[in-house]
Amino acid sequence: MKSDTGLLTPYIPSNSRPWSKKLVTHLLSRTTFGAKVSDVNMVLTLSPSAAVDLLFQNLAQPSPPGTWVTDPPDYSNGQLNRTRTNELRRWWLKLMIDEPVSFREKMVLFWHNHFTSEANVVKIPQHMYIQNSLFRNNAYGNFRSLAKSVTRDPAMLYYLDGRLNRVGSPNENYSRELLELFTIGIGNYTELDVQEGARALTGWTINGLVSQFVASRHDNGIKTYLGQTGNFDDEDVSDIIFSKPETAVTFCKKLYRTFINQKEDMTYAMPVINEMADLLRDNNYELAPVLVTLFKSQLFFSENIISSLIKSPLETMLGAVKQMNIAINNPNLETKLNYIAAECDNAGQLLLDPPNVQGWTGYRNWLNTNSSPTRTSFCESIITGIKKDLTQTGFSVDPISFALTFPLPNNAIRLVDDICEHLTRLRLTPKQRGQLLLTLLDGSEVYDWSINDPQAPARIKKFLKALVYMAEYQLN
Amino acid sequence: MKRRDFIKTVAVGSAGVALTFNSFPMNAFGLNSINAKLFNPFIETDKVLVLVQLLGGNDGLNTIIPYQDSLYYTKRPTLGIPSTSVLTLPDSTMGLHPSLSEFRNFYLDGKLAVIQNVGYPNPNLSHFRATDIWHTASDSNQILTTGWLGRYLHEEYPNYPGQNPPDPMSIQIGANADLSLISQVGNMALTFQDPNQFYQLVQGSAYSGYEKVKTLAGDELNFARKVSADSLQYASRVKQAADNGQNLATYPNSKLAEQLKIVAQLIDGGLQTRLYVVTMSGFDTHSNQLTNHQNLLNDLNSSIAAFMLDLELNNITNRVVGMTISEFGRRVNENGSSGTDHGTAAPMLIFGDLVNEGVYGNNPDLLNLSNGNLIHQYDYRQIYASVLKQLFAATDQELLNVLLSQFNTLPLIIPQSSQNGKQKNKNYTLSQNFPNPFNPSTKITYILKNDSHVSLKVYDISGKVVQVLAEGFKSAGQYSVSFDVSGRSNLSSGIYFYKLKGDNFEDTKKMTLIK
Repeated sequence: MKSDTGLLTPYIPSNSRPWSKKLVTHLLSRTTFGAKVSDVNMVLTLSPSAAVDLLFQNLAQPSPPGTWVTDPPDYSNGQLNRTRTNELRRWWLKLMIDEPVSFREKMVLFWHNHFTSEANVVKIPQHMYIQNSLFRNNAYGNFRSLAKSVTRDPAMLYYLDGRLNRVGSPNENYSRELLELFTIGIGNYTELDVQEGARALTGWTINGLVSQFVASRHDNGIKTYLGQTGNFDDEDVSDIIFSKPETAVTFCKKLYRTFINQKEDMTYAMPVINEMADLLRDNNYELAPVLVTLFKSQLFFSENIISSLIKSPLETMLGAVKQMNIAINNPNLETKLNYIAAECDNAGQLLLDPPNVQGWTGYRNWLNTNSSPTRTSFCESIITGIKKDLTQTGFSVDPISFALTFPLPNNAIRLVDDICEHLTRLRLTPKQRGQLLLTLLDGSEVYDWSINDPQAPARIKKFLKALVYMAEYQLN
Repeated sequence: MKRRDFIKTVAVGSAGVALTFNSFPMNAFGLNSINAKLFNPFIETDKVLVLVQLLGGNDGLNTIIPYQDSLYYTKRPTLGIPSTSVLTLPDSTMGLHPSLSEFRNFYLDGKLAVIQNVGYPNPNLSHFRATDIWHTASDSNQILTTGWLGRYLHEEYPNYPGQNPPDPMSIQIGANADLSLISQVGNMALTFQDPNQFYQLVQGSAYSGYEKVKTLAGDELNFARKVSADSLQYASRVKQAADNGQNLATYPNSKLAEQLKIVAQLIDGGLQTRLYVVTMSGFDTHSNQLTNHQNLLNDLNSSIAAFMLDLELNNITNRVVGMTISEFGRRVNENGSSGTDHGTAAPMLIFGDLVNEGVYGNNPDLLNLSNGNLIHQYDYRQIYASVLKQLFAATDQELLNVLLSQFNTLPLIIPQSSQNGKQKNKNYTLSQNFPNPFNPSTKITYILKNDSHVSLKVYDISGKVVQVLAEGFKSAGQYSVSFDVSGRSNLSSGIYFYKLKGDNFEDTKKMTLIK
């Protein structure tokens, strides 16, 4: 395989770059919604290669959020549909929080943000659930076959008007986004391709919970699409798109930006991206080989890319929950999950409702003068247990048992260093660590520090608060 | 014009003040009360631009409607707005969508400019690329990473960040900041959803300058710190303005109205920010357009009307200009799903007391199309140039730096010299009718300083002429005419307009008949 000799050489631990908690946390932060201390300790006992393989483990499909997912759609009951959408959202959040060491939900979110649909437009939560399950079943499956399934997915047929696209009166909405956002990317097709593609995609409609092909609505004429001519249908459209090398390059660019680095100037990354694209095509668009190779690579574990991404609101907030070992359970599970969903929304990421068909553009767009304090204040609230409006969150860190998960909780200097490493990965400067240590000690001396001190819980909380307020905590 | 000189007087960035929040020591850029004193509000212009973004591509042809063009109805057999329900505009063969009644009033009051067929060469039909083009003021095939407003603000505030102006340079109400507001030195916008919540949130946030991190993370770290610092610096200033400001109009219940309400409150509260961005989405009407578009324009109409009334009641209406932008118009032919696909050129609406009212440009040419799409007449950057130059007194060199080429301007904004009380032309005066409201009769007085052909007509709310009060050549002097509805049972209670038109001026005022 090309990767053995190419730029995606596997990372092998060495004296100069040992397999460490920091690299484990880096791996888990990028591929999951946050790592508990126990997860980090467990993964550290594995080799880097085995650790990545564990992330791709097969998990059972979760049971659905309710029996309603098989109810026939009812467009007239908006209230009920919104209630169920909220239920679906909570269900998915809970999956993200409770997931064992696995890459799956991160990829479900990736697909949700790639083959985007908005619940408020699709209206029927059953359709959103079906789409969500499609993404989960194909989390690291085949890109081409997923694209074909999405073309016929009821939520997508509604969201981008495919259901209305019929012979004689084409609707270009899906045809355009399929090319522009979902596959080959802008610059690789013409307006004529958009129009001809729309003709080829005609005939698919929604029938209850499933999609249906109505032959009389399909345009059987000859179409010219991306340089080929014939009586094409929707499968042909995907096959033609995926016969173009640009499709793999465009998609691997997105993978790179999502999992490695999002520098605006990508030219320096193009050799790696091209190698990923070759690998994707060599594997007939199976995704797992590409991602496994990427996550096992020296590149992925290189110092230069550590903490060079900006966390999404979900990564920030769910990450804080998981990193600090906070359980989200009954009583009042619904209220707790609603709070998380609402704060993610306030910070610009309402799950199931991306802003438009492009999805969340992420990177620096995640951080502005509104979202930045919103993220921080959420993290503060699950440390103190008190929200900005002074009501209780109902869940918060247990400072003592959290401290006890580290090897030397009674050594103030080590405790500060270990928690900093666990929460940020970036090595803080001596000045920063000094300030944080002063915060933890709260006027007392280093040698006086003991987690048995009655003041210890309050002091640990104060220290954690200071830590999540640091800009370093916004990075992934 | 630059504010360098007054900004230079204080180096806020280096005048860091140590603050302690929650026992965690930190440095802040500066305390706002101190700033306020140091920067004793000195501004060369107090004008404010409010950008209203219509996301998704607003259908221009069903907004400003060529209802006298039969081709419009041929190409829009089910979506064409019937000419009987179009709101007609005096002196134009274009009309407004029936939901835009308040915009029609703006027009009659001389507060609305419609610029037809705005676009650019080789238009792009992708939402995202087209949005980027409008935001960055680029050519169709040119990729820019900074926005036109960001570059303009960088011209005005060249020492930001570091020496920061006392008030935010620009504000975007919402969860995100747009590419249009990104400059060479980063994001120039303060973004928040609600001034009070924002203030609450920012309490306790930290900013500290630390050593440089040499990996890729270093840039991101600096970015995150700058965002945090801006939040901290401006939150209390924004809250203060929100506390000082008031809303005197009643706003409808909509997301756009909520945003505009905050903008009005902050302007009234004395915030010196001169650029606001508000956003409304949903204009991508590929299907079921008639209902969807009607709802959208209803919202736009009532929200902007409340905003304009608020400005008027707060007596700040002569400082604020609003402008709609949308990434493209829509295809001339309707599609088969009772909707329209992505198109190209479309009208822009500019509103406010300072606007040189009228319909600019030719009616859309529905015959000569390019791939079924309208061919643009004005480049959108001409509109940007006009507004920056006429509202903010941007110099030609600044315009060149911001827009990267020279663009001819249109006289969209009344010249600074005659902006007081909108006395655009001093060669006439049209007084408010007396009594008002009236029944059955009222007197209208006007003064001509030069000899002129004049007409003085009364219109009802639908734009129909109700009575001609004067018509013909008049020599300079003062004239009074009466409008009497005795015996005219067909005229019902409500609002009427009277419009005085001369050789080189026109003016419209509103009056109310109560029977």
